[in-house]
Amino acid sequence: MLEENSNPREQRDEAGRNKTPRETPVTRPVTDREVPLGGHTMQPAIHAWLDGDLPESAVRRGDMVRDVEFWQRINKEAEGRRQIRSPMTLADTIMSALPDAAPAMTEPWWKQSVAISPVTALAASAGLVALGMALQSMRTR
Amino acid sequence: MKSTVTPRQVDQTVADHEIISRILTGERNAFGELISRYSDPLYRHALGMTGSPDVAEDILQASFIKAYQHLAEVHGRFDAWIFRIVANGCKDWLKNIRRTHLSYEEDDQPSSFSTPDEELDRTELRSDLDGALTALAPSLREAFVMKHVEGRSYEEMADLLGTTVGALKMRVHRAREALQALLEEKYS
Repeated sequence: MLEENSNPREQRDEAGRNKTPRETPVTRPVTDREVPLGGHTMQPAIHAWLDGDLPESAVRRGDMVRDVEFWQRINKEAEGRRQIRSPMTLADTIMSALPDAAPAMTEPWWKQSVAISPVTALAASAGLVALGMALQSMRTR
Repeated sequence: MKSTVTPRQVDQTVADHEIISRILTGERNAFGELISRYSDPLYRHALGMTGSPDVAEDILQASFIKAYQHLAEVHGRFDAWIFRIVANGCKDWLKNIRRTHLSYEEDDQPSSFSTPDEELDRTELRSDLDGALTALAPSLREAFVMKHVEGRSYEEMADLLGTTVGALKMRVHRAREALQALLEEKYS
């Protein structure tokens, strides 16, 4: 699988030398973590045209004509996919698969109610009194 | 990151939150409105990422159910939130699956080609493009699909993916170069 690789050091071998050029991806199966260059570097103007920053007339010349025609074919296919719609039955399928319980309302922890038993309340009070007495005795020393 | 929220998105977000409030107060069927509002673009994304209509449908179903269960946690834009659930579902699927060959069903897409020869070329190109997309890392495929297939702006992509325009341009450029390297021998 061709892998995004933003770390230029990964393109060097362990001794820090640049790796030798790879075979083009079309001649052998691509491996995991491969840098997707495959020997081809597109001219920045082609990217700018594809990004909508340059008109077609600015790139339809010289060596770039071949790239323009290639990308026009790809874009025609890609844009055709924008008309695809989700299956008609999808909404019904999802609605029938929803859990019966309504989604839980979540409140911030400070707004949530806390249940304390009388024993816990008494223990907490006794603890606070003991802590207060301990602090008081430390202050008087 | 610069905010790129448009007035239309603000209206949509308000409308989404009204629907969410109705659902949270027990009007379960209102969830259908959210599904019909967002299922098409989400399905296209899942299909572009996985290459399989069945898998795309499964991912959407699981994502919407997850969204329903956690609906009370939506505080910002619902569309961005559900998009992230679907996008993560696609990436998880890609991590877990070793694909052999999956392609779009022939009759799923409208044709913009007129002659039988063009139709044949189109089918071949579609299949080759799917194959080439499969060879890309998920993050590159995601960027290419969002830019070229879904026709989104870099700003919109950055907004949805929570990253920068510069990083996304880099991913799209890398994806284009990889795809051209894979396909140019046949199609240039």
